[in-house]
Formats: sequence, C-alpha cells, structure tokens
Amino acid sequence: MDDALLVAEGVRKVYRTGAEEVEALRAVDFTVHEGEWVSVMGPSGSGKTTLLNCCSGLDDIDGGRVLLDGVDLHGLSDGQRTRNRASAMGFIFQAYNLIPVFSAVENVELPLLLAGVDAKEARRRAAETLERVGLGHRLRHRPTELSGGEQQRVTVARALAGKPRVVWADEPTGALDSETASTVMELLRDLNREGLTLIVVTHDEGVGASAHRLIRMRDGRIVSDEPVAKAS
Amino acid sequence: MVPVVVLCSLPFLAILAFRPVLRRLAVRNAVRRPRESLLVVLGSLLGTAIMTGSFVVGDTFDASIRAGAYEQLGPVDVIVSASGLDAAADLDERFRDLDDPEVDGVLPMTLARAASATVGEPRRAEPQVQLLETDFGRARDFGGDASATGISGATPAPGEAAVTDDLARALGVRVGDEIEVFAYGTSSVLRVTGVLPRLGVAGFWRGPESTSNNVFVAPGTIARLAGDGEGAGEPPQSLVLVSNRGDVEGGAEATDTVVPALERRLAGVEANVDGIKQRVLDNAEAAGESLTQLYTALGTFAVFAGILLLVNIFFMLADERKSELGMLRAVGLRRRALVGAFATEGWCYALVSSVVGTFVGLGLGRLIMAAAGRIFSSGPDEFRLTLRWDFEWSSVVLGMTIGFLIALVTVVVTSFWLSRFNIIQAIRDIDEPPRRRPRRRAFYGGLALAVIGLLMSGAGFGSGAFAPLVLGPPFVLLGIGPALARNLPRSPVVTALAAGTLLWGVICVPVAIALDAQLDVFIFVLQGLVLVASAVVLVAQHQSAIGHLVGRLAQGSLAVRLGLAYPLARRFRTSMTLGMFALVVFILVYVSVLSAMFNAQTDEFAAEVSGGFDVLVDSSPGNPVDFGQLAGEPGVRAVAPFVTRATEVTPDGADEPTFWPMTAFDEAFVEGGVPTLEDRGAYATDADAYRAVLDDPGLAIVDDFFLSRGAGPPEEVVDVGESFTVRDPVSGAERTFTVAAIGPGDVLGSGGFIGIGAARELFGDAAVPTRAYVAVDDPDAFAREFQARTIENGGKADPIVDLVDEAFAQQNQFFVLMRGYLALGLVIGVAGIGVIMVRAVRERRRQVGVLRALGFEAKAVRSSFVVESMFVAIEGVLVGMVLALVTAYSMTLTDQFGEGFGFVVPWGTIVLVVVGTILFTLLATASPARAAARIRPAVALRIAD
Repeated sequence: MDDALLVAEGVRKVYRTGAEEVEALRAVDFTVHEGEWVSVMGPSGSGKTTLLNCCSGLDDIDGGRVLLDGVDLHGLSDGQRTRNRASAMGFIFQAYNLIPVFSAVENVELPLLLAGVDAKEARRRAAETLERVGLGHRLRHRPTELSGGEQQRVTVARALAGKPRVVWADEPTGALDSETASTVMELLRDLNREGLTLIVVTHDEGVGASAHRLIRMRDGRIVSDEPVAKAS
Repeated sequence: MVPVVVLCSLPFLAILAFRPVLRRLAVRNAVRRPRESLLVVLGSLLGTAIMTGSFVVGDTFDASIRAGAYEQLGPVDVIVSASGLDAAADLDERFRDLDDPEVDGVLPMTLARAASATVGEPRRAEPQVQLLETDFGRARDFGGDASATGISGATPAPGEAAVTDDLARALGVRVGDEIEVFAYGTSSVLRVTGVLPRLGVAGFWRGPESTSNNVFVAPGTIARLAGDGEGAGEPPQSLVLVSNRGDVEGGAEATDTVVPALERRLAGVEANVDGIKQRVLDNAEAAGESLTQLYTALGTFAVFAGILLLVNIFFMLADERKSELGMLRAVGLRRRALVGAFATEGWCYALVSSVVGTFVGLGLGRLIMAAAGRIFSSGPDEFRLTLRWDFEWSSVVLGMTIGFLIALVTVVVTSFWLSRFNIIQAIRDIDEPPRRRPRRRAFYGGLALAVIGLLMSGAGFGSGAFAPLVLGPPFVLLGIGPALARNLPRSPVVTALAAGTLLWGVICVPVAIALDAQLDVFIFVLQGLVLVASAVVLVAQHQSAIGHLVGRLAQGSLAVRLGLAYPLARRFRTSMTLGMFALVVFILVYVSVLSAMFNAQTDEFAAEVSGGFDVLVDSSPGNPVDFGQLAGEPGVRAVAPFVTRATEVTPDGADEPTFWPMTAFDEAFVEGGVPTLEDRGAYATDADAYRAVLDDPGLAIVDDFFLSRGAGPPEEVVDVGESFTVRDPVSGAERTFTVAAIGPGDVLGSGGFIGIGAARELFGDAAVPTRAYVAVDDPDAFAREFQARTIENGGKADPIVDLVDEAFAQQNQFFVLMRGYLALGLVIGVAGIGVIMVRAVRERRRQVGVLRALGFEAKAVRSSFVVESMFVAIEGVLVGMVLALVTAYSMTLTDQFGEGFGFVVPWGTIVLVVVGTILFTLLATASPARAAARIRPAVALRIAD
C-alpha cells in the first residue's frame, strides 16, 4: 500500500427521489496505485459513473472514505476539495464538456489558471499540451469549430495540462467513431506509459482491455477486480 | 378590440384544437418550468401595463375636466350673452318663447364680477366672485331635471344671498352670517340665506377656474350696484342660458344645430352665442388625448425595452432547445409547424401577460394619478384641476389589445427568425457560422431601404416634418450597409455606418429646430431609438476590444474572464440586453438633464418675463384697483396696467376656437421695460416690437405655447407673420391679429399681448384694466401690504420672481412624475436581467459542473455570473447616460429655449439612476448567481450526460 495513490474504503452512495432510495454504491473498496491504469466496466446502472463522481470528490458520499495521497477527500470543505481537484485531478468526459465560449487553448489553460499558474506560463503550457495531442494548429478555434475527435483531444489536453496525479475519464471514446477512438486511446496509452494514473469508466471492452486492471461492477458492488491479461 | 384579439388568436386556437403534437410542444414547454414562465410573463406584461396606464391617465384627465361640465354647467349647453344690462329685457323677450325641438329650457340670468369679504375683523376675502341674478323657480325647471341644477330654496330677497359651498368654505361663512360684496366702487352687505352646491346652474362659472365662487342675489341688486357705484368695472353681462334636450353630455351634441338657430334670433343685437358645453367637453377630450399621447410616447421606451427582453428570452429558449428543435425538424416537422409550436407557446405568454398587465396598468394609472393629483391641486386656481380617478373599459380593452399584439407580433416574428436553422448543426448544438457576405436578398432590400430613406430625407428637409427628417438619413445608412459589406471588410463598414447614424441621432433635433419643424414628444422617442440602436451596434461591433480592456483591468481574474466570455461570445443576446438598459437609462437621464436645464433658467426667465417690473397685481374685474392712483404712491416707480380678458381665439385655417386670455397694454408698459422677446420678427429691438403692437391694432405678440392644448413641447400654433382671430365671448365682437413677435413663455397667464387701442375696439366698455405690472423697491413688502388694503378690490399681488418660481416648481413636479413613470422601464431592465440570468444558469448547468469539476470554486462561479450581468448592465447604463448627456448638450446649440439655455448636469439624479440601476441589477442577479454556485458538479454532469 506504500505507493497507493487512491484508496476507497466502504464507499456508499444513496440516491433519494422522494420516498424512494436507490443505493448506487454499496460499500465499495478498491485501491489505485501511482502510474496504474484502471478500467471500470459494468452494465448501465451498475454504479460506474457514480464511483467516478464519488471517488474524485465531485459528489458527496453517504458512507466510507476516499483517500487521495492519504488525504480524506470527503473530510475536506467544498473549497478545499475544489482546490484539490484543481491541483491533483484531471477529467475527461464522454460529451467533451468544453466551455463553448472559450477557444481550445483557453479551455486547456483553465485548470492551470485555477491552480494559480501565471497567465503567460499557463498559455505556453496549454499550447504545448495541445501541440502534444496534435492540435497545435487549432489553438484559437472554439469547440463548435472542431470535430468530435478534436474536441475530445482538447479535453484530454485540458485534463493533462495541470500535470495531475490522476485523470478520471468517463466513456472517453463513447461519442467517437472507431478510428478517432483508437487515436484517443493511443494518446492515453502513451500518457500512461509516461506515468500518468488513469481511471477510465467504459462500456467498451477494447478500452477496458487496455488497462492494467479491470474492475467490474454490478448493482453498486465491485464484482471483480483483476489484472488485465495482455496478449503477448 | 376584443374581436382583434380573437382574430389574432384564431391560428393558435386552431393549433391547440387540431394539432395535438404542436399543442403538446407549446403547452408543455410553457408549463414545464412554471417559475421561469412566470418571469417571462412578468417581463412581457409591462408593455400592456404601460399602454393601459397611459390610457387610464388620459381617461382620468378627460373625466376630471368633464366633471367640470357637470359641476359648473350641468344643464347649461349654450350661453347667449350681451354686455350691459340694457340687453337683458330684449334677450328675455327673444328667447322666452323659443320653440326649438332641440332645446328644453332657457333661463335669463345677470352676471357681474365682484370681490367679496366677511364682515367684521379679521376679514376673510375672496377676490374673484360672480354676482348672479336669476329666478330660482325657473332655474329649477331649467333642463327638466331639478336635481342637476343645484338650485334649492327661494330666490334671494333684497339684502339676502345664496352662496356656493366653494365661497362659503373660502370665506368661512354659514347660513345666517353676513358677507360684503364689492363692485363698481361700492359695496353691499348681504345675509347668507342658503348654501348651494357647485352643481349645474348653482355652480355656473364662465372662467377657467375649477371652483365656483357664486353669490346669488335678489334681482336688481347688480343694477343698483352698477348705478350707485362711481368706480370703473367690467360691465355686467346679460345672459340667457340654454339647455339642449338630453342629459348633461348628450345635450351638448345638439350644439351645432342649436347655436345657428339662436344666432338667427339674435339678428340685430350685439350679443354672442357660445356653445360652452361642447367646448368644455372637446377640451376634456383634447387634454385627455394629449396626456395619453405624452405618456404613451414616454412609455414607448419601456415598451421597446420589453420587446427586446421578449426577443432575448425567445432566443434563449431557442438556444436551450436547439437540439430538440433540430431533432423535430429531422423527424419530419415542417418549418411552418415549428414556427406554429413556438409561436403558440408565445401566444400563451402574450395572452396571460396582457390580461395580468391590464390590471397592473390600472394600478399604475392609479399611482400616477395619485401623484399627479397633488401637482394639479396646487398652483393658481385657473390651472387647478381636481383629478378624479376614472377610466373607460374601452380604454382598458384597448391597452390590453395593444399589449397583446406587441407581445404576439414579437414572438411570431422571432419564431420565424428562430426557425431558420441548419438541422444538423442544431442537432449537434453547433453555432451557425456567421455569413461572410450579406445575402443578395439583403443587398436588394438594403438598396430599397436606402431609396426610401432618401425620399424621406428629402421630404423631411423640405417640409420640416420630423418623422421623415429623423428616420430618413438612418434608413439611407442602414440601406447601403449590405452593399458596402459585400465589397468591403464588415467591421469598418458597420463601425462607420453606426457612427454616422449616431452622429445624426445627436444632431437631428437641433437640425429639426433649425428647419422650424413642428416639435412633438414623439421626435424624442424616434431620436432615442435611433441613438440607442446605433450606439448598441457600435458597441457590439467592438465588444471584444471592450471586454479585453475590462479583462486587463481585472488583471486576469478568472471569474471576470469567464463572466465576460459569455456576453462577448453571444453578441446578439448581449446587444438585446444592452439596448434594453440603454433605452431606459437614456430617456431617464435625458428627461432629468432637460428638467435641470429648464430649472436653471428660473432667474434668467423671471428677468425676461418681468422686463422692468417686479410685481404682478390682479384685482376683481367688477371692482378693479385704481392703477392711476397706485402709480402715485410712494415706493412705486412704475405701473403698467393691463386689460386681461378670456376670449375665443381661432388661428387662420382652424375651424374651432380655443379659449385663451388676451392682455392689452399701454405706453406705460413699453416705457417701464418690456419682457425679452424670443423672436422679435422684423423689429430691431424688443421695445420696437411692443411699440409696433401698441401703434397697430392689428398686431399681437404671443408665446410658443399660445393656444397649445397638449402637454409636452410647445405646439407653436401660430408663428411670426401668421394671423388669428379673437372674439369677445360676451359681445361677439371679432378682430384679426397678425403675430409681430414671439414673447417668452407665458407663465403668468397673460395669453397674447395686444395694444390697448385694439382692446378698446374689441371689448368696448369691458376693456377695463384689472391687472398690472408694478415696479417697486421692495416687492415682498409691497405684495403683503397691497393685498391687505385692497380687499374691496379683490387685490392680489405677487412678486413676479415668486410666480415664475412657482410655475417652474410645478413644471419640475411634472418632470419628477414623468421620471417616476419612465423608471418603470428600469423594472423591465432589472426583471429582464433576472430572467436572463436564471435562464443562463439553466443553460450552462453542465458547463458550471465542468468548471466545478476542474476546480472552479463556488464563489468564483457566483462571481462570474455577477460579472456577466454587471458588465452588460453597466455598459447599457453608460451608453444610455452618455447618449443622454450628449443629446441634451446638443439642445443648447439651438436658440429654441432662449440664449441662456445652458448645459446643466444633475449629477445627484444621475448618480441615483446609475447606482440604483446597478444595485437592483445586482439584487436581481444575486439569486441566480447563488443558484449557479450551488450546482453540484456530479449532479450537473450526470444530468447532462
């Protein structure tokens, strides 16, 4: 456990709609190590995205705890948790979720500015990161002027720009065609090889198979947590 | 009007009845978010409220003046009058057996002007009193409805008097008390035997005053006073009151038939027939219409602000539903059907808002009238009016219909506009790329508009008609825009054309004045719209540079950057909001600055009006002050006596006369120092112009407001060189005058000035001086002392400076009332920004979730929304304020308001408007900004994904 980056212990999450209660996470335990790529798979409604939300501190939990570098995320105030996200986490969403009124470079520099990086330095690093994901020529374009694959690459660049400890990805290729999806996956793979910790929620067996470990979920529980056997 | 609403609603009712899919779309979207729908309704109901409020204001004025017809005329529709008592018997003889199917009563009466006072110390006096003689029995039968005559009891016996409750109240007397009446240099003590209401014959009053200080005396009393007295005085009048068949208002309709019939009977007699009731009712209608027009014109700014808000909201709705609209089109919904669904939803809002707005408008009208009531119940009695809250249901329905149509046309046009989208881009929620070059259609449309603009400009410059003059040049500039933009870079073209239009907006009113155009309050409405529209286009064109500058000033604050990003990216929506604020602030600040500029003129204006004199002295026409004697008193440097008389004035080319006072002066006025003229016509000096009028009985001097019946800017009914006819309403004598010069604004109730010679020819024995300008060393002391010693003459003296101050104070109160009304537009602005921000939060829920996920703190999210609304509000306030100041300054470049009309900025009021607007905007934004800050990232992302 020495190199454990993220530890989830007995995490519970209950959604309440009126009198009805749905237990989305039922005492989930898992650990993610530094530099690891963990994929989370399972059928719809199994609790994958809820796991991502709760363990990244985006959502509150109803039981258990989540430690990031030994810090209990849910013991922090909202402001502290927000600052923690800004400095230590990156996010990639299926729907890209770029800010439409910002250009590609402005979207990417956003987490850097939030982390307090000087504006010029933030712009330089953002441009550099976009260059890295192959969008050096699209810096000033707004999201609506980019293709789906390009938008997702901007999202990846945004997630990476702040050099986070861990990147959470929710169906990163879900909205992409297979060719674009494989480009994005290749990019993530390269980044992981360079030491980036990745936690990817996916339906795609191919994406799942790219990980070091695969966690399978059903009805809010982890039903299996095993290393992925790599084809030789 | 109701059929119009029903007719316009038919297509939407048909959709609701026969198109279930469209019905579902429209109705479910309308009720989907009740709180936001409520805000949309609130934002759009103000159009109806303002229209209804304006109509109710007009109705109230109409009804209040009409009430005078009931109280001071009742069954009296027509008056036959002759000067002196000699004609009384002849008139009675000629009309006693009048057999006219349109007439149901004639009543002989004798009238003399007098002063009155209580007997014994301390004396209470009333300077303006009518002594009336008539047979009370005949008076009760007059018109067939005794209760409408106000007459009760027996005809007063010698030594007795029946007084109206107005006079009883003024003197503090009751039945059994004694009063003294003064006329023709003598007096008579009378015992009060009855107190009569101000109603019908009892309340009969010929002057412009709203109270009836009548003393009914025994037949023969006036003859005795006139015979015994040795003093001067306006001769008594022999009258025959005529009642037409029908009730108080219905009877007046027969006036046009009855008056010629009566005139035929008067052949050979020097007398006049006056259809007084019809005139009072016409005046009521004109005053009501004028006030309605003024308030409607001013309310136009708020209405336009409401339209911009509605367009903005519909664009936000369309943006929010872009994907679903695209999907609907993709699955086969035709564009027309989509317009139908959207417009039907808008129709629901329009219908609800117009109904609710009607009631809000009634309340608004009530509020304005409560405030106006205080203004109109002060000041000189001849200008006083007791406002009675009243309205016609037809006005209410009209207000509702106009409000409904404004909202409906806005939503239908916007729906057509919104339906033009690319299906794929809509489904993918991608913004439509801006066109590089204007369409060919825009090119040809623009050329057509430019030609129309050219024609309008030609007509405007040629005829001085203000609407084509103000709108022509902007149409030309707007029209050539597409042609230029097809061949030149868009930004410089738009900038140049907007700047040109803006410049024209600033100078168009001075140009209109220079071209002698007829000023109307609507010219300011058009000017405001041209100015604000061009300024908003200019600002929108350079919004990025402005945002960049603000961002730099904020030193890269992320909240500021994010707050600015949306208004800068959504230029159209930002422009709508900007225009909304700019319109409202423009007119508010403009009216405030004009008001301050007029107020600053008080001292100079007092000096202009008074010439070489200090005090205005008035006295009873029946027992006037001996001005020759006054001139010899110690401390009195000069006295200029005036003959002032209410007359019927008909400008050349007009059909109906207007009741207006005319004042005759003599040599003493010219020698003592005449008022400063605004336009001295062909004369070298002001004194030359007055002397010419004195020498030539066919000349007159009038002011810009002469014969103006409406509120707002002067109507300039007659100008130098133009003619009008004056008729004595008692004798029927007429004379035509030509305007020799234009004098300063008439705030002292003098009306037009003519020479004493002309007055003697026109008024005969009635040309008795009753008022005077007096030059004294100590005006205040003189005024106090004069009134105390001239009770018998109904003496009244006021320093001219005080009278001018009073008139300006009343004018200022009117401006304050207008500002209060205009501030309603701010309600639209503030409510609008609230609606827009609530929608913005909903629209950007997912983006806020992402920002929060990336590490944007809750308070930064809150700040970004506040920055966004404040940026637009402050920009709008600044645009409106600067435009108002520049435009007000441009008014000083003309001599329309006198040479001393200087630029004055009421900073206190402006700061109040600016700070108030910003503060309320902040309050309106607080709740949506807090809601945005409370968005939980996981929830926002989950909902979105």
